[in-house]
Amino acid sequence: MTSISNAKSNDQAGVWQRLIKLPIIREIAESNGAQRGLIVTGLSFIVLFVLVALFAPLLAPYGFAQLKGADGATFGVLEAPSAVHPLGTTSTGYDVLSRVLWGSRTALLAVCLGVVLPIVIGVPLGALSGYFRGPLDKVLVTISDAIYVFPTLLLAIVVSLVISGGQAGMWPGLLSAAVALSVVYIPQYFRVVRTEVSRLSSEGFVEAGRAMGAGDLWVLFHEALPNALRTVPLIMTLNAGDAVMTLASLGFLGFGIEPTAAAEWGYDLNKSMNDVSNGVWWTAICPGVAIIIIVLGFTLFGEGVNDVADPRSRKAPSIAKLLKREQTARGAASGAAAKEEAK
Amino acid sequence: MKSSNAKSGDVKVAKTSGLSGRAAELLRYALIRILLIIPTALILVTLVFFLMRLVGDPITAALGGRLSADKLAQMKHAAGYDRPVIVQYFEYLGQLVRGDFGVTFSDNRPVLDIFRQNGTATLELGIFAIIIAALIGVPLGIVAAVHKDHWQDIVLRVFSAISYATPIFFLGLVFKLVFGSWMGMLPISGRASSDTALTLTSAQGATGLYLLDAISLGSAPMTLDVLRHAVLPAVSLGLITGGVFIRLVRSQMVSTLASDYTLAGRARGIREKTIHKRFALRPALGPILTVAGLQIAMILGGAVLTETTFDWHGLGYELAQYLSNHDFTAVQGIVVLMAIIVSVVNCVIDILVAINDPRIRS
Repeated sequence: MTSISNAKSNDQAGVWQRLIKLPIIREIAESNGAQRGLIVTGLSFIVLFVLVALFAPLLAPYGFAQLKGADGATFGVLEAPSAVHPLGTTSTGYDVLSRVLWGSRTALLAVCLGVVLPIVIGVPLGALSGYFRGPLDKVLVTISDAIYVFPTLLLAIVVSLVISGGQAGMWPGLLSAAVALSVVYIPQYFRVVRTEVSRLSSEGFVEAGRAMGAGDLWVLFHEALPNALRTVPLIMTLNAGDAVMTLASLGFLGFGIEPTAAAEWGYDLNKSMNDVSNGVWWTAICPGVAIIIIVLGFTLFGEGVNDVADPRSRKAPSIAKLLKREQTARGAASGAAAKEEAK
Repeated sequence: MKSSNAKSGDVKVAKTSGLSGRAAELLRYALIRILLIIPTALILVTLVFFLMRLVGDPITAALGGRLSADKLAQMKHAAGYDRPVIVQYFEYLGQLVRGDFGVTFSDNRPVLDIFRQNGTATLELGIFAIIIAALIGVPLGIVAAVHKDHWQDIVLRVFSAISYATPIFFLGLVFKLVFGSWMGMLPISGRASSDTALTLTSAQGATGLYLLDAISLGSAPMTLDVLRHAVLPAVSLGLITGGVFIRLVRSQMVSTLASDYTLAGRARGIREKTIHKRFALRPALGPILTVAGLQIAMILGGAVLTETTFDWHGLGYELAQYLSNHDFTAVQGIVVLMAIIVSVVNCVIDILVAINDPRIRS
């Protein structure tokens, strides 16, 4: 082994050491076989979803509300899959494949809105409530406990009535799903952040901050809160999956987005109810499978990451692995020594 | 499942008939827990009421655009919707306390009547679904926990993840397609054939639970008809809920199986089977019951979708109908009623858990 190649591999090791500290990558590196399978599968579903959503206009053969081909001829109704319509057409005469692809955009927007909104409200609320306690804290806890037991969908229905009055364009439809999700998820972020912050605020490093004369808010947001966000990513994955699910459920109940405003899978599934009774499969199966893939992606990813973080599910490394680790550590040390010498 | 149920039953008998001190302790816990329903229900009722009032009043919602502004204002005044919201709120609370959940706007039906006529359908569907979910979830959850990180566990985890990711109405549509339209094996809508439904509802002393009514009439074909109609909706709802049960039972069993007392039991040479049942499942039952109780809320929400998919005329189906008619008094009444049901069920579950686990009572 020459010292140059040693130094090079050492540099690579340095890059790797830094990479490994990044979220997601660290989780993958620390995972065992099954966990890694969960994380990688979930992540690839999510990436696929985001890519399809971003490039839907290029991927989709037609527009989501297009009823006529380029030649001006109207699409047939409930046509079986063919070369012209790879996944057939709906009872209104839309191209199913195009609507499924365009639908991923609507779903992605729902995920973004439906995750950001509850976090922006729930996390600071939980932090303040957990840090200052007092009567307001008691009230908030009681309210969040009450909402916790309430059926999500019923709340979503009530909220969507408030926002869109039931019939909706794209933004009112998305917003009602997002606000409905917020009502359900604010209490969840609130709970975990509140518990962690109130535990942390009696710990040494937070008290040290206060002793050094920092203000309460500074200590809360610089010391306590960053350390209290451990469980937030797991809720985010559940929240993201639920965003897709809630949007689709509302759409299925007839509270969705008009087909001309945006493609939305729940609406398409609602319209496919009659087709299913007549034995037509493509109008129902395609949007349904799209929903499953996305929600599954978030679920598997969340479960994998959660598993890695849970010490109980961590496998003890085998003796062989431990020995190997020691060897590489020694190798790196001697490599560093060699580098010094070369200088 | 069966044996553990029987056991918790034994414990209940022993506790209540045995030491009176423990019985009193349990009773006090139950009373406090029952009183706690009030704030929970009040918060939910308040939330729903004010959210609904943000939309505007029910009359404008139902008839807005179809009537002149004058006529609307007149109707609003007659119904009292032009008064301050806070006054209406307390009036509404007063009505609820007297057991008056309001009258629907579109067809003048008292909400309690909807509850009486359609509630049993939802109850029946919910019971079927819970039974199926428990039959799937508890044994498979135990299998997953015992074979943790082996192929059985991985297969089951993937299964429960897929069942979580599947919209219940989509599963219902697939079932309708495969077993109804393609194979023609099972009916795909309604609770019974129309003549059966007619006989059952007009029968004397009908409970509204079709299966029970059909059995008490002693008619085998009718019982079969009711069961055949129930298969697809109940299995859809049950499968989805069962996936949650698998995860739940698995995670609880994994921690009890790893505990010191399980290790001690193994060291004493107790058979693995006995360890699973006595040492691992029993202590896991409390948390399982608690979360299962929370699933009641999910089942009620899922029932709205399942009932819409299968034309199952329960509370959820009615709710969806009134929603599309923009009948907000009906929606508010049904949602508030469901909120109260959920609070009561959770209370019952908590008390059951306390019976099983003495530590909670003190």
